[in-house]
Amino acid sequence: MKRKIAIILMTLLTLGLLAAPALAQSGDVVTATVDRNSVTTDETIVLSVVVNGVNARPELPTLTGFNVVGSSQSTQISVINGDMRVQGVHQFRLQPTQTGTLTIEPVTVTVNGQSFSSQPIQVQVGQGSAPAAPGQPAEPAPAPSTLNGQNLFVEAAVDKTNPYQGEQVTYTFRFYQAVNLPGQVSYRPPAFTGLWNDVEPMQQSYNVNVDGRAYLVTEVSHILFPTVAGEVMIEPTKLIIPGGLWQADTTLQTPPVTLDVQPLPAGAPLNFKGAVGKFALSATVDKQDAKVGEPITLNVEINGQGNVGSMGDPTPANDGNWRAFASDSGTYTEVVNGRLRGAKSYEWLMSPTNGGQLMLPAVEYSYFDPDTGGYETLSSEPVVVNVEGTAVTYTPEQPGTPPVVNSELRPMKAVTAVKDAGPQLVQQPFFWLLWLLPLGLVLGQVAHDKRQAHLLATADERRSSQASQKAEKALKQAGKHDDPFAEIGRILITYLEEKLHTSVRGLTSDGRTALLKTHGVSDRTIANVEICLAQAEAGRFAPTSRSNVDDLLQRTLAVVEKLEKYLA
Amino acid sequence: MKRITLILVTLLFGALIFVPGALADGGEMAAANVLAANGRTAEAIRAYENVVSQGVDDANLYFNLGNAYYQNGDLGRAILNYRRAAQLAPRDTDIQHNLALARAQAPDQFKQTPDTIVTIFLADMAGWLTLNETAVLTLLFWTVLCLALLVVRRLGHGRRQMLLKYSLLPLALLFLLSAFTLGSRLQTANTLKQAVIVAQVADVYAGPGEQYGSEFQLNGGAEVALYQTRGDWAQIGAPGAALRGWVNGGAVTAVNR
Repeated sequence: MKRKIAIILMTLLTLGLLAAPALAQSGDVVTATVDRNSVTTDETIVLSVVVNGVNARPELPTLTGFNVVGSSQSTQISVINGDMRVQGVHQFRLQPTQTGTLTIEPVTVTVNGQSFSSQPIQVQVGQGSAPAAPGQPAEPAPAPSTLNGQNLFVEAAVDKTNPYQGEQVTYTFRFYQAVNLPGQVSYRPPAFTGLWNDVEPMQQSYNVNVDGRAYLVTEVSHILFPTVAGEVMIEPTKLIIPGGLWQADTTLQTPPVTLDVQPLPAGAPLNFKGAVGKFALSATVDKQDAKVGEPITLNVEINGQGNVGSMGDPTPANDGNWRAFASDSGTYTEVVNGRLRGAKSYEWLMSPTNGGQLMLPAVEYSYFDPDTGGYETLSSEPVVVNVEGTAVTYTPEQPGTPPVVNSELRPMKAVTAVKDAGPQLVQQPFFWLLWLLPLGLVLGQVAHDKRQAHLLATADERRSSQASQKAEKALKQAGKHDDPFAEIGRILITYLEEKLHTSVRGLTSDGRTALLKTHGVSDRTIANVEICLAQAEAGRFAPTSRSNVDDLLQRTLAVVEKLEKYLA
Repeated sequence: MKRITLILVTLLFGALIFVPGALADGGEMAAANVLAANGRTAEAIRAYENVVSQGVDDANLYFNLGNAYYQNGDLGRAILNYRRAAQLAPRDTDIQHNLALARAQAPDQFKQTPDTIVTIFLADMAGWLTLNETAVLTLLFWTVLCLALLVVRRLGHGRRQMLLKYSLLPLALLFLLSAFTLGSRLQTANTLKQAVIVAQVADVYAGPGEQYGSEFQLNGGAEVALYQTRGDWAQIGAPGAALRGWVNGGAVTAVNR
């Protein structure tokens, strides 16, 4: 029993450990938030989906009760000492279409086949000043004059027939139906040739009463921006109504709509890049103190109303003190009251090439304002940046700039014998061993000198320690000498000099006696020394026998042995 | 003692004079030169690269190869080969001229002008002596210094000894200067690999893979520092700037082979 319980618990623990990373990851990889949880039908909310660690696009769930009226995306990448962090931020502007407590289902991200989900979000939607669709629109369009009791009717119109090139034109298609339809109609919008059309069309439905007859009106609006000047024709929009088994399909189409697109006036500023509308510019830097070569981040945002999606990008000005590297950019758009609004953000890494107090030049951006009919130029404030360090050699990126040196290439070398330079000396072990040789010589000489000095300093001691052995050895050979008595005398005198470290040869007997006494030699031994010396002296001049030599030898050996005890 | 010293010193520098290495087939180099002279730069490049692939490491070869790449419009590889030639023959004015010419054409340049005496000195030495020459010079100063020490000790006391004693100080300074230069160059060579962007344009990513997103671009000829490689990717950075990122391994080549 206990064993079974243990197995069950281990299994649960293992499952929990396996699930924990997944559970933890779902919160780590993707998170979804809204800017507010309480809103009315007149307002919009922003759903922000943040994807961490990977560059993957999130999959939105079915947003019941919401329309997506705008979206933007930005990616934040930071590299610090080689470590990279990636974070994708996806924003969706949602327009609630009904009141009540609405739920935004989890947003999913798939990475390498594995799904990660955010948490669901609840939003409380209250009634705004206008009723939510379906129902009466805030301002239903007036019924067309050509609607005279038909069951089905279509029309298309633009809000402006003579826009400027790049100015927003809203093309609205309306479908009036007074009867129920057996199937799904097929909406075939025109190609919108000559017009930039990248905004999701907006759709709404409402009821109108025309001459006593109720119509359900379905309205589809397209936001367009003419890309060419002159006459631009928008082809008919077609609506195909299925006929069913006994009736052929019916195609309703609108008449074409012609726009008279006005060209932009001459005199556009040099930095004009096609922006038409009303815009504002803001620029910030992350720091105002830097070092040469160390980039600062310049963030620029251009926001406003107009062709945000298709307008050109600004370029940071360069006075020769900066190198600009485009790092990141993002576009955010939304439709507010039928007008396209949004912002384009840019991030540049501005690397200073010189030191000192540098001015980060203003970012300028020009646009055309259709309302005023003129060009406006936006400019950020220049920023003073304190830069430490030395100058960096910098060559402007101007094609065709002549090189700083004589442009003639030195010709090739007409040599045919080439060789391998071989491995670097510093990589060869023997090179480093060679360093030891001179050092060895110096150390060898030092050691040699020290030894010599030591020997010199201890010469007396050595002589003294070896005197006894030397004397005994010499005495043993003295018998073979031509004049053994003289030899014995010399050996004894030499022994005394080496032991006493002084000359004894010229001393008298009294002198020798006094000297030996100062070294603590006993009177008896001193007497024996004098006897030996006297006998040696006498033996040189008086006839002696071999036995006298031997006797003297023995006596001298005994004296040396005695003296050794006193003079060690 | 003197004899031993003389023998050892002779062995020391005799060993240094020995230069190992392969001698390439002169015909191949001559053929490549002819191709280059006739304007057939693409074929000349192939021929020169073939010689290089045999393990030859010659300043003239790299110079000619650099010229061929330059004339063929490949600025990155031209700078790469000029730099290799300059490493082997830093005093060659032709190499210096052509390298400066190629560098002037490069859109992206990350050079830092030395400002302190030390950095100026190191930069000058690097532009004048190869690493091997610096190593030999340092060893030479070391040997002369040690021999001078030996002689000073031998001379005992006197005027000659005093004169030689005073010469020890400048000798020691020369040795220290040379040793410092050698140490700095060794440390730089071991810790900071130099490389050149050889692709026309290289996307620099935040990480070792295209999924990280391109942060910025570098043009061919940009001279960068190579920090590490991971698989097919290489982490590079702009010397003197805080820009770092990853490029495809084929887009960058190290100067040292």
